[in-house]
Amino acid sequence: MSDELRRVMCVEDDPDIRLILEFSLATVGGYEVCMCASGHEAVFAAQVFRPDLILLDVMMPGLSGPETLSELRKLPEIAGVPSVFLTAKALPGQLEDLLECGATGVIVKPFDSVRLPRDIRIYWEHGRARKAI
Amino acid sequence: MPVRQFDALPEGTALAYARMRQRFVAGLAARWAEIVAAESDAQRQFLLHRMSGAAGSFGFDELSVVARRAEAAAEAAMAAGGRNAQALETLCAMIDGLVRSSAFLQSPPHKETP
Repeated sequence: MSDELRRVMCVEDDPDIRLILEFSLATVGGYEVCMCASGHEAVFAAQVFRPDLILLDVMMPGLSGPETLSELRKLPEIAGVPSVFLTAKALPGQLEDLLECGATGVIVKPFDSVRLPRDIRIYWEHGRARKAI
Repeated sequence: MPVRQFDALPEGTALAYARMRQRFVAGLAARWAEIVAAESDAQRQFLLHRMSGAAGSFGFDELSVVARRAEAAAEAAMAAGGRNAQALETLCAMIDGLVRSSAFLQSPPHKETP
């Protein structure tokens, strides 16, 4: 796993949210960002981009967020990479289900574009610490 | 909802954000048309879900809340085999008002909420 959080992969089907994620993470946060419009695109791109952290929407046509994460976990390049779900549905039971999929955290939409770069860093550090145990 | 800090952004970055909001508003009518034309309550629920998440992330908190209510109504309609016209009408009026208004572009992108 990388010692520094530099490359963030986002999987989000909504073009407007992809735009604001790119603004938040690249323009405000200064990360190198790879935007994917679908789970299938992410599985293909992850092998080349080699993200330090993956941010996934939950409800997507085709592969859902949890299904995408499951596919990504099969790639050796992605083993141990922290992942965070983005969801507009934040009922306690649903959050627990998402964490059980192996995600490091869950960020609830709508998200704050200025705070998001800092929030994902916290999850990335948490993910690294959890792996080190 | 967290407190947002757009006042702290450099001028160019704040301008880029304002342009993105304009683009989102310009696309609202198309989003609405897609919701109205949805082939099923499940599809309508999915589109409302996306609108709620997007609107809130662009700082349109009220629209986000109404879209979420309409999403819940569409979900309930699926269970009951009917359709909650009132929630969709409220959303329609709000989108219509937002698209027609020019005042929102001068307003701060986000409000602090308690």
